[in-house]
Order: sequence, then C-alpha cells, then structure tokens
Amino acid sequence: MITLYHSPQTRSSSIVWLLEELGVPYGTKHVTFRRVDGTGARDPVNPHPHGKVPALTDGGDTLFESSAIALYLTDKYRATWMGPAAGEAGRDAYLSWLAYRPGVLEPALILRRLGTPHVQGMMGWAEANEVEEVLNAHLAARDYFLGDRFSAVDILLGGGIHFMLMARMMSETEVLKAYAARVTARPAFARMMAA
Amino acid sequence: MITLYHRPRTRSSRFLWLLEELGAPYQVKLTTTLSPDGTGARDAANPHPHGKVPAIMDSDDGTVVFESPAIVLYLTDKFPTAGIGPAIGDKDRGAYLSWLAYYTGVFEPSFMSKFMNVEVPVGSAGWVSVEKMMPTIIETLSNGPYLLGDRFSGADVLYSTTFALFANTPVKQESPVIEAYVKRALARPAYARAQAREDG
Ligand SMILES: N[C@@H](CCC(=O)N[C@@H](CS)C(=O)NCC(=O)O)C(=O)O
Ligand SMILES: N[C@@H](CCC(=O)N[C@@H](CS)C(=O)NCC(=O)O)C(=O)O
Repeated sequence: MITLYHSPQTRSSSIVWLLEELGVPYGTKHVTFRRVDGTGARDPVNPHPHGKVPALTDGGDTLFESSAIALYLTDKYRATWMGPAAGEAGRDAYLSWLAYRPGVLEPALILRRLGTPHVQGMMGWAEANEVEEVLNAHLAARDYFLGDRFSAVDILLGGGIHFMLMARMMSETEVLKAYAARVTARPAFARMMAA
Repeated sequence: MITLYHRPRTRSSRFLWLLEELGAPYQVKLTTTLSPDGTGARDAANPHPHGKVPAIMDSDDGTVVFESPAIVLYLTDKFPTAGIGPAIGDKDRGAYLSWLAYYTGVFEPSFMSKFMNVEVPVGSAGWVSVEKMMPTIIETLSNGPYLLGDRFSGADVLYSTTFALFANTPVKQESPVIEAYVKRALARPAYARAQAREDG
C-alpha cells in the first residue's frame, strides 16, 4: 500500500495529481512542516530526512524528493502510461526533464526572487531568463514536454510552471499560459485540487 | 556507443569514472563551456539545453540525456552487469532514486547557498542549509559505508567527487566519516582509469 506524506497546497500536491492519473490505490498522511511564516513544526513520522513533503512509502520502500517519487511510481505502476519505461523511446528526455525541475528550474527561479546574482559556469543551474527561454522554445514546438503525449514530467515541471506563473516568479508568455491551461485542464488535476 | 560531452576538470569528469565502472563502450568528445571568469564559449554541438557538461549521446538509438542524476540513472539502467545501479524492483531502488534526486535538488543548491553566503529560506526553497543537511549525510554514511549501505552505487560517484573537490575550498567538511568515504570511493580502480582519460 502506498502512503504519501502530504500537506495540501505544497509540492506534495503534484504527487497526489500523479497518483490520481495512475489510478492506483493510495493513502495520504497529512504532516506539518515549518512554514515560510515560521509557524508549524516538523512531523517526526515523515520519513523525509528534512521533514519536507513529499515523501512516500510503498511496501518496504521509502522515497523522498519529488522527481524520485514520480519516477519510482511511473516505473512500478504501468497500467496507465505516465512515462516511458527503461528501454522505451523517450526515456532519455523523460529522465532529463524530471531532473531539470529540482536541479535547474527551482534554484534558478528561487534565487532570482531572492536577488542572488547568477554565477555563470559555476552554478549547476542557468540564469533564470535563460531557463525561461529554454522552456518557451521547447513548449512552443510541442504540446507536452515529451511531444504529443502527457507524462509525469508535465505534472512535475508543468505543475511547477503553473505554480510559478501564479506566484509571478516567471514571466507569463502565450506559450507558457497555453501550456499551463492544457495540463491543468486534466480531470486528475481537478481531483487533486478537490482532495 | 556512448559519447560523453566533456570538459576536463568539471562536473563531467566523474562520468568518465562511471563509464569505466560500467565497462560501457564510450568515446569522449571534448567541448567548451562558459567559465566563471568569462572565458570559453558554448559549443553548439553540445546537446545540453544550456550548453553545460555533462551531456551524453547514445548512438545505438540517438538518445540524448542531460543533467547529472538523469545521466547516472540512464547509464546504470542500460549497463546493469557492473551492479552499481539497483534495478527496478530491487529493494535498494527507492533509496537510489532518492539520493540521486537529492543530489541535484538539495545537496548542490545547499552548498551553493553557503558559498554565496545567502540564507536558505525555510519553507519555500526546495533545499536546506548545509548545517541541516550534513548530519543526515554523515549519519547515512556512518551506517554505510556508502549511501546505499554496503553497496557502492552511481550515487556515490556524484557525492564522493563533490566532497573531494571541496577539500581545498572554504566549504570543506571537517569530518572523518566524509574523509574516509572519499578515500574509499576514489581508491576504486575505475577512478584511476578515468583520470588517465581526463584530457580526452
Ligand atoms: N527538493 C524537494 C523539495 C520539497 C519541499 O521543499 N517541500 C516543501 C513544501 S512545498 C517543504 O516541505 N518545506 C518544509 C521545509 O523546508 O522544512 C522536492 O523536490 O521534493
Ligand atoms: N545541473 C547540472 C550542472 C552541470 C554544470 O553546471 N556543469 C558546469 C561545468 S562543472 C558547466 O557546464 N557550466 C557551464 C555553464 O554553466 O554555462 C548537472 O547536474 O549536470
């Protein structure tokens, strides 16, 4: 049985969305964490090493970090296709874009908001404007990150883009707006929002 | 045949090590990137969307993989015989995926924040401060000796080389556990073979 350590309206909502897409049985355990405003405390039952959400357990397996959880779930539960399997065409782009969210998109945009200057060549991410250019160029040419098929990348990166547009951390363009509208129109997104 | 886009003494160097560990057929394509001092230029042939290294191309089917944790996983899944990447269904797979994702989402931004002297905003940033992170890593490696316990994996290639790199910098970690970990990992024969190919 899958247990998701979750807190509504946070990064763990993406995993609720993914589980709804996959249609597998799961339970959620609501946990608290330290919020931006200083309220809330870390919940000792949460297996994430820093008490963050999401974390997930499934049988004897324990996972932390969003992209790891998404990959684990889509590799294991394959009745609904949410990403290419190992050896299947598109696996390369799937793994690369899953890693791009925590490794490039998030640090680039969060540090821009904090006013931290970008140090070209040393930081593992890219300058935020350049990240926006790459995402716009990629999505101008296709409906979804992997082409014409919706995958878990569109939940993690797509959900991230949707959130960052709403939080005005990213410049709104026609391409990104249309893309965010496309992915958030999915019934599983609405089920996540209602959960 | 795997082509590694590589620039000597950068984040791509450890992929020579990984490829040597895996016994994978590979070739090195030396490339240039923009350096912090403003020298160097992007190489249009490099398939990484930001012109970074590493990136790989697999000529068996024309696939392109970028971002270090993705490349590690792609390669250890494709070349399983070396046994340094738990397969799908293996009891260590979950921890393997988690530590790979943690590397890029927590470990690197955490050290970079320290390096840049910026406070990590609690609750919004996806990472934590080095002070909060290191006890977790030290505890894991004390029980280890590797991230997955007694099993060396592709994840150790990322972490051990980063700690080795920090040895001569202000973010050096004074910890006998980390020192022993780096020493043990870098003593592997494949690491020495990789060093011999560093310049192409
Ligand atoms: N790198 C993590 C980030 C997870 C994260 O930072 N989640 C936030 C909620 S949106 C959290 O739990 N913050 C609490 C804290 O940092 O203590 C991932 O990709 O899953
Ligand atoms: N997030 C990337 C980081 C790669 C990276 O930043 N590599 C550096 C060399 S150590 C680079 O190519 N820098 C050139 C640039 O940023 O333009 C990964 O994990 O692979």
